[in-house]
Amino acid sequence: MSASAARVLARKDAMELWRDRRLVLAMGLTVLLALAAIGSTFVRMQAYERDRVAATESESWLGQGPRDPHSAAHFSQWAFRPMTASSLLDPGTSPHAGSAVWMEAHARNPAAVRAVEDRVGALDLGEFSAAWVIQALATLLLMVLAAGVMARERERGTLRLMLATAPDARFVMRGKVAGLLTVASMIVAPLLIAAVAAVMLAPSAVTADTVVRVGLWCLVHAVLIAIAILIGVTVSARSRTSAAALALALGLWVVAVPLAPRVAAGLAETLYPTPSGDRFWAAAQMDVHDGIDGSGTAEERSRALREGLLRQYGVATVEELPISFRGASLDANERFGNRVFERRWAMLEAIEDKQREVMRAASVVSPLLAVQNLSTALAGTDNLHQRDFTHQAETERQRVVNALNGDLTVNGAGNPSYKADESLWRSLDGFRVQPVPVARALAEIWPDALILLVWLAGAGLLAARAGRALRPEIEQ
Amino acid sequence: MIRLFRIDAIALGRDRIAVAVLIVGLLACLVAVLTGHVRLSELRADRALSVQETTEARAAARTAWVEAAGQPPQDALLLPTRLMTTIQLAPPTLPDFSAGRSRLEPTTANVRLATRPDALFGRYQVGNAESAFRGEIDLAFVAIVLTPLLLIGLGYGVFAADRESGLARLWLAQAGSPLSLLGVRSLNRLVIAYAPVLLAGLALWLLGPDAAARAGAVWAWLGIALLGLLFWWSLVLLVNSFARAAETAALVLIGLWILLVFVAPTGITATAGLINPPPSRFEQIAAARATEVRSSREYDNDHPELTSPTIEGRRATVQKGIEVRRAVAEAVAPLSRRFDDQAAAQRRTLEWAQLLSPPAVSAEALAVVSRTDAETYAAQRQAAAAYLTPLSGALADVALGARPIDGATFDALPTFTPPTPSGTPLIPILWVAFVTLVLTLWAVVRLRRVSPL
Repeated sequence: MSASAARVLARKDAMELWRDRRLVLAMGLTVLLALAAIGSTFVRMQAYERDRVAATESESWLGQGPRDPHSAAHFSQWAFRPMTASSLLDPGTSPHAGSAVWMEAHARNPAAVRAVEDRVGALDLGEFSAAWVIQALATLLLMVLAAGVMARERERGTLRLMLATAPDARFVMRGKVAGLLTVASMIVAPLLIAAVAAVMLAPSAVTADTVVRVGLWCLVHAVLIAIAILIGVTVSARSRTSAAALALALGLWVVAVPLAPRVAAGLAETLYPTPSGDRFWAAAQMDVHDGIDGSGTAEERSRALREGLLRQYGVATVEELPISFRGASLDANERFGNRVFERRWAMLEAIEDKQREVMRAASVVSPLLAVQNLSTALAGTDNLHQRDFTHQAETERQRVVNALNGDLTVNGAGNPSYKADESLWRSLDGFRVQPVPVARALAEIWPDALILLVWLAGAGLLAARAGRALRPEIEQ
Repeated sequence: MIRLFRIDAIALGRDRIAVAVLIVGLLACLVAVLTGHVRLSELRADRALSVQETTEARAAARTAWVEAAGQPPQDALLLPTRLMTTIQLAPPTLPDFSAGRSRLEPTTANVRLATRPDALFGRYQVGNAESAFRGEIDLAFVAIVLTPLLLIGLGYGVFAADRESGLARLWLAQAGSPLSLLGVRSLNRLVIAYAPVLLAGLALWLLGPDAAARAGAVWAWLGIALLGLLFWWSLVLLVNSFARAAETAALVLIGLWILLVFVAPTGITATAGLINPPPSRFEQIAAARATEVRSSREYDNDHPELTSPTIEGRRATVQKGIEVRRAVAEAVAPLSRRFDDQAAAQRRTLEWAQLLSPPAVSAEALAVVSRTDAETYAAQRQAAAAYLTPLSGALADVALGARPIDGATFDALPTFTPPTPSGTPLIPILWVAFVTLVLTLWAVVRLRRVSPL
C-alpha cells in the first residue's frame, strides 16, 4: 500500500459512510439546520438594523425645543449598537450584553435591550446560529462517525488485512483521517458557503475588515473540525470495539462541548464573583454621596465648591458670581460622578478580565473555549467589542453632558430661566459608533489562537502515536 | 429475582462504562450543588442587605416626613418628590435547583414619583455577558441534558448487545420472555443515573433555608426529573426492541437526544418568536422620547428646588412632571401591551409546540416549580409596573398639597405586594407521563414477542 493507497482508503471510507443512509440523513439534517440558523439570523439582523436606524434618528434630540441645558442632559440621547455583517456568523455575547445605552446625566448606564430578556423557553442551550451548529452538532456527528472507522475494521478483522498490505500503519491512519475530512468538508463546506453568502448580503457594508474576519472565522472552525476528527480517530484506533469507541467519543464530547464551558464559567464566577446589579448601584450611589479618595461627602464638596468660587471671583454671595453657580455645581457633581463610575466600571471590567483568564485556562480541558473566544471576537460579538461600544457611548455621554453643563455655567449667570436652543443641540449631535478594527480584536485573542494550534498539534500527535501503536497488531 | 438484581449489579460494577457514567453523574451533580448553593446564598444575602437598607431608608424618610411641619413648606414639598421606595420582588423558590431566569431578572427596583413604567427595570444588569453566554451548570441542566445522555450510555445495548452477541438467543431459549431480565436491568440503570440527581437534590434541600416550606417544591422537582428520565428509558427500551446492533441503537438514541434536547427546543423557541414577533424595543424607546418632547418643553421636574424657590412654582413643576410622565406612559402603554401580549402568545405557542419535546416540557415544568420561569417573572414585572400608579398618585397628592406631609400619610402610602404565583400546570407533565407510558407499553409488546429463533 503506497501513499496513493491511502487515498484509496480515504475514498473507500467516504463511500462507505455515504452508503450508510442513517449518516447521510444526519449530515443532511445538520446542513439543513445550519442553513435554517443562518436564514433566521439573517432575518433577525435585517429587522434589528431596520429598527435601529428608525430609532437612531436625531429628530427627537434636535426637535426638543428651547430647554434648560440640564434638562436636555437628562433627556439626552440613546446610543444603539450597530450589528455588523460578521455577527451573522456567531451572535456570541450579544443577546446577553445589551444593545442600547441611555447616555443620561448623572449615571453611566449599562447597555439595555438584551435579547435574552425576551426569551420565553426554559431549556436554553445556545443561540441558534451557524457557529452553534458547527461547534455543537457537527463536532458530535463527526466524533460519532470517527469513533467507528478503526474500531469497526478491527471488529470485522479487516484492520489486520489493511495493516498487512500497508507499507506503514501511518498510511492507514492518514487514509482514515483523509476520508473523514472529505465527509466533514461535505457537511461543513455548504454551511460555510451559506454563511459567507449571508454575510455578503447583510444590510451593513462589507469591507476588507469583514472579509478578513469571515476568512479567519472559517479557518478557526476548520481547525476545530480537524481536531474533532483527529481525536475521534485516535479514540477509534485505541478502542477494541466500536461500541467502546462510541461511548468514549461521546463521553469526550459531553465533557468538551456542553460541560467544560459551563463549568469554566461557573468556576470563573465562583473565583471572581460579579456583584449583583443592586449591590453595584448601591455602592456607586454611596461613593457619590460619601466621596472617594478623601474627597469628602456631597455636602462637603458642595460647600468647598461654593467657597472656592467665591474666593476665585472675589465676591461674597453666589448671586454675585459672573457664572451660574447652579451650572458650576452640576458640572462639578457630574465630573465627580464620572470618576466614581469610571472606578466602579473599571472594577467590573477587571473582574470580567480575570474571569476570562479562568475560562481561558479551562481550554486545557476543551478546545471549544478557545474556539468560542476566537469565533465571537472575529464575529465582533465578544466582550471586547461590547466594551468598546459602551466606552464610546460613555465618552460621548461625558462630552455632551459636560458641554451642556458648561453652556449653563456660562450663559445661565443671573438668568435662572435660561434656555438653550437648537443650535446647541445641533452642535452636540452626530454620534456614530466606530467599528473595532480586526487587528485590535486579533491582538486580544492571540493566546486563544495559540491554544487552538496546540490542540491541533496535540491531536495530530495523539493520532500519529495511535497509528504507530497499530503495528504490534500485525506482529500478533 | 433478587439474585438477578445482584448479578446485574455486579456486572454493572465491573463495567467500566457504568462506573464512568456514575462518576461523571456524581461530579456533574457536585458542581451543580456547589453552583446552586452559591447562587441561592448570594440571592439571599443580597435580599437581606437590600431589606435592611430599605428598612433604614424608610425609617429615615419617615422621620423626615414627621418633622416636615418644622420646615418651610416649599422645602417640605420636596420630600414626596425625593422619596425612594424599593420594590422587593418575590424570591424564587428553588433557584438553586433550576436557575432559570433568576440569572437574568432583577430582584428589586427603586421607584419614586418621577419613575416611569418603561424605565422601571433599567439598571440592574452588570453581569459578565461572556460567562452568561457560556451558560451555567444547575441541577436542572444535569437532570434534563446530561443524565439522559448518561442513561443512553448505560442502556443503548441493554438488549441489542445481547442480540448482537447471540447471548439473547441463549437466554430466550431458557427463560422465554426477556421482560423480567430487562426489568431488572432497567431498575439498576435508572438507579445509577438518577441516584446522583436525587442525592444532589436532597443536599441542596438540606443546605438551603426553610426546609419545610420548600419540601413540596423539592419533591415535585425530583418527581418531574425522575419522570424525564423514565421517558428516556422508555425510548431506550423501544429502540432496543427494534435495533439489531448495539451501535445502531446508540446512533439512533444519540440522534434522538440531539433532536429532542438540542434541536427541538431551540427550533421551537425560534419558531415561537417568528410566529409571534414582539414589537421592537427600539420602537418603544423612540415612542417614549417623541412623546416626551411633545409633552414637555419645560422639563425641570428633576431639580424643582433649583428652578423655582416658591411653593407654587415647585408645585407647578411637579404637576408638569406628572403630566409628562402620564403622557409618556400613555404613549408607551399600547406598545408595552402589544409586547406583553406577543410575549404571552409566544409562551402559549411554546407550551403547545414543546409537547413535541418531552425534555423541553420537563425543563419548563422544573422552572415553574422553582418559580424561575418566564411567566412568573413577567407577572412580577407587570405587578411592579401596576404598583407605580397608586404610589405615584399618593405621592403626587402629597406634593400638590391634597394630603399633609406627616407620619400618618407616610404610613398610609401603598405598599407593593408580589403577585400570587400560579400553580404548576399539570397537563404538560401528564403528557410526558402519557408519552412515557405509551412508549414503554410499545417496547414491552415488542420485546414480549421476541423469539429465540
